[in-house]
Amino acid sequence: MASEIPMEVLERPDIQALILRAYGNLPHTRYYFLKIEDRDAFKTWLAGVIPQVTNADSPTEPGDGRCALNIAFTRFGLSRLGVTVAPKPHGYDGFGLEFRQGLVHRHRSRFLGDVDENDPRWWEWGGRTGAKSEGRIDCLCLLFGDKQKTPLDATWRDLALPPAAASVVHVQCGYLSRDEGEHFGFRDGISQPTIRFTKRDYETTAPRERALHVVEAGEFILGYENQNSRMPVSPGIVANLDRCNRLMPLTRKSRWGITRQVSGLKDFGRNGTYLVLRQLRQYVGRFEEFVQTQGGSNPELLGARIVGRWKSGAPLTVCPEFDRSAQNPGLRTENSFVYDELDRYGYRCPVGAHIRRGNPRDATSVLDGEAQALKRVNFHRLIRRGRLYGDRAQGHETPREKDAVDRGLMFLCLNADLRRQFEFVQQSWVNNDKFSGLIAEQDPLIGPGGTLTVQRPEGHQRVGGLQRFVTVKGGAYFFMPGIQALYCLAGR
Amino acid sequence: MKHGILTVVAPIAQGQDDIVRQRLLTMGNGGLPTAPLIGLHFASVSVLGRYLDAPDDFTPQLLFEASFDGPREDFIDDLVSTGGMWLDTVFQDCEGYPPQGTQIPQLVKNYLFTHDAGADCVYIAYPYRSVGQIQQEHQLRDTVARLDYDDRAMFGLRHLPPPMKRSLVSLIRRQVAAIPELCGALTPPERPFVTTYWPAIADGLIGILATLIALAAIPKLAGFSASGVYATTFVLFILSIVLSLLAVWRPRWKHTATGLLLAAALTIAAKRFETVAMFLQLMDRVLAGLGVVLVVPVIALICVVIVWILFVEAHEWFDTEPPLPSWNARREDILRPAERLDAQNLLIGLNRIKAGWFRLLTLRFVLWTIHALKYLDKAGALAGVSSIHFARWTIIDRGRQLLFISHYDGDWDAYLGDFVEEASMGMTAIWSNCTRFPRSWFLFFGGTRDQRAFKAYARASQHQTLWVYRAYPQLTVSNIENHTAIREALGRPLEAAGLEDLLRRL
Repeated sequence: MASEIPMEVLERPDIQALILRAYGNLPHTRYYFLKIEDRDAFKTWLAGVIPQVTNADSPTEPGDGRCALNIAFTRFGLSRLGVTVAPKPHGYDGFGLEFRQGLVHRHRSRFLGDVDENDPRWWEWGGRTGAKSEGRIDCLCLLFGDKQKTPLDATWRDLALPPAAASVVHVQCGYLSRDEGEHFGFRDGISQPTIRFTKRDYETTAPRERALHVVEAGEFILGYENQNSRMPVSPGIVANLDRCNRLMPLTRKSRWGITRQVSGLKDFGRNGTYLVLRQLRQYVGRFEEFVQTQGGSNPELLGARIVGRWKSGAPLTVCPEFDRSAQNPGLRTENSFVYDELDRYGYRCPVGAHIRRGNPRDATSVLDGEAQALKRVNFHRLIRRGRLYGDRAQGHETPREKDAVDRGLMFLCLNADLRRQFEFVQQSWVNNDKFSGLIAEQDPLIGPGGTLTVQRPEGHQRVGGLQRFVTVKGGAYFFMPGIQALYCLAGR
Repeated sequence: MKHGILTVVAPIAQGQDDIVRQRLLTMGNGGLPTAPLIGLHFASVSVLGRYLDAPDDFTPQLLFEASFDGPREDFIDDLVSTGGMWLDTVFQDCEGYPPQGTQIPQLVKNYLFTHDAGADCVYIAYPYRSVGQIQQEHQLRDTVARLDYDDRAMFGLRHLPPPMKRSLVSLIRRQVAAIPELCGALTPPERPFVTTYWPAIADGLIGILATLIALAAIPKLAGFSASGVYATTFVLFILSIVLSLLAVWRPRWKHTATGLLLAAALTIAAKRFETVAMFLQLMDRVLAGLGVVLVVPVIALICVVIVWILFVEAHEWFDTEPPLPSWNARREDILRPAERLDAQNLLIGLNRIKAGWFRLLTLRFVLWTIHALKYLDKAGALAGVSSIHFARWTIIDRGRQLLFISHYDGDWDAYLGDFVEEASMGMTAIWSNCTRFPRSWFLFFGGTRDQRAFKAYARASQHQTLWVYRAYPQLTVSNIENHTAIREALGRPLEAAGLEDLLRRL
């Protein structure tokens, strides 16, 4: 039977594995931010490293003390390596405007909520000023490993990046915690889209589960059909950059719906995707203090209402009063619930809760039914591959001590259209004052603070005094090319 | 009160457009006196500069648009008599604007009237709601939400005995009535006749139609033989019962059920009474005649529309189209600063209509149809696009350009996403008659479905807003609907469910 599954739709050997895999078995991460010093030396190094880049077909257990490696580039890096990032004169879009302008851009920052404390001026890397922002970031190398079997630092030494080729601007450590929780103590990364044509897609059979989570591959990987039944716009490069003829010709649909080749351009984007990396510092002390003082007799419940799930991961919509995950462990990763049916008015999980903003699921069912509502939401899905940085706070520390330590989340997400996916979620859901009929409040967990309205049948309760529990400390837009495109960048 | 709109498009004297732009940008909200503002929902001023595909003889135009309560004449009177200075500042560089300005009010009024391009299709989210009503209902909601009725929490509403629930509502009512600014907020608002009674009228019409069809069909089916008549009436009777049951959850079928029952009764009566039989036969003939008179033109119209759409498709095949516009960083830098400052935003788009009378006629017909449909059902062509306050399409420049003005809620991306998802067919039918629009199929399909291309197109044809006035900048359409619902709930006796609904809205 297995042979009937058309697994070959995705060109897996060409896709960097991070898109399809969360590397749950490789809990430790290093983020290396590189600045290219010498183009040719860097290309030589890159060519040597590409065979070690983990693709979606590589074995899940990298063995021999090897780490998983993935590489992505900013717009600076790509143009340094000879790729024209600007659009072509004949109306061809190339890389999206968002990528061309970068994450740090005055209007974009305002729309994404990167103002005040989040202002790129204060960022540690990727921002406008700041010690580590001085060095322009060209390239991001992600190493994933298991501390015992695959020491990350040794692997990086083995990769032998010559200092003349590129300098390491910044290194950041990250990890997955053993209990899969983040610093505030909540289980993270539960709700992920299921990419079409992957194993999970074929395993998902329940119709509602499919409608909720199965999303076309083109929403996350260029070169496949997206939710609109169209090909995502793929950036092209001049044909003579593709020395060994590794890339497919770039194609476009003509007015008559016929696919035609664009002369002189090669499809650089195929099997690649856009990567957003943001360093989010979490103030655990502030959060816990707030929950303790405002939560009255049940601080756990207030925390859960801010997030939308209990610390264990059990959604409030399913168990609104008590965390029942001890009796029913399946609730910890429960992800097939919908809001409109159980919780239309937010009596269980507040309408403004973090997970409801991040993915409103079927919230607009009232308009035209669940199927349409889910379809609408699935135009804005993200693959999240976030990991923690900084040690977990200890229970005996005072709030002040907890906040003195820099800890938080290396938020990483992957999507094919930055504007329609990451930026949309950020500006139209997370930072939207008027989200879902609310009056004036933003995300209670990652927003600037203010009020959270807790809906109740006997009249709403407004929990005031929310603070900024999370600030942005760095970030950039990257492009993660396919393996063949990487070779092309290396000039091979 | 009925809303009026004004769309003044006036040519700017040669070479003055940059001066006008600068002046408008620095003007701020000052200068406009309060008198015309009382009933003013939205107003904006912008310069329509040269753009991609603009006609060769196109010179920069000043656009002043306003949406207000009451007739256009009254608004212009107010504006000219009290806002003379402001008008003179805005229009002083326009061709043909009276040099003495508002010192001779009649000349300025004539100028505004002659340059008003009107609108070919208007959408208003909340027809008949005045600025005063919207602001008062907003205040009502804020007041009620602040009222202290904390004893509710002691019980939990569900377990509250009914007398206490009633006393809770009357408490709210008493407290609201004590506030002088909110006097009148507890009486139900004025509602347009059509929106109030249309569901009833529609159901009634369906019922009458069902009765007539049944009456016309029975004698033919039954052939007036005894058993035939009884069999048919029996079938009708059963059908009517089924429909009545359906009416429990789809009230629309209520009248149809009654109609069928009536038809069945009449048929049986016709067996008994000669006069009824004669009446029925007469009806039969009348109906047959009416059927021919009604059905033939409808079929003819459908045929014409189908052929027309085929012609549109043929045009679409053979049009030589310039390539789609791409995202432009400079344009983005001009447009974005004005966005997301209030809960509402403004989109002003100007597009070149494809050459030839055929496209223009198609566009006019589509706009007219959407305009007319909207009165039948509020969720007409703009179904589900609940984020638009006022929107209008105007064909200007002797049928060569299409102007689109929309005051909408939230982000540009989310708004155009709404368009694409909810009202794709209507929007495609309109803009596919303009140059550089993404390829459409058979007038209604494709087009906006290509989200990225459509958004790039919309961005490329958008013009910068230089001056804008919003009467209630912090309110979205759903806020306004919510406030009206609160007012209506407070004005009528509430049962438990109604009370819960009211509290949810606060």
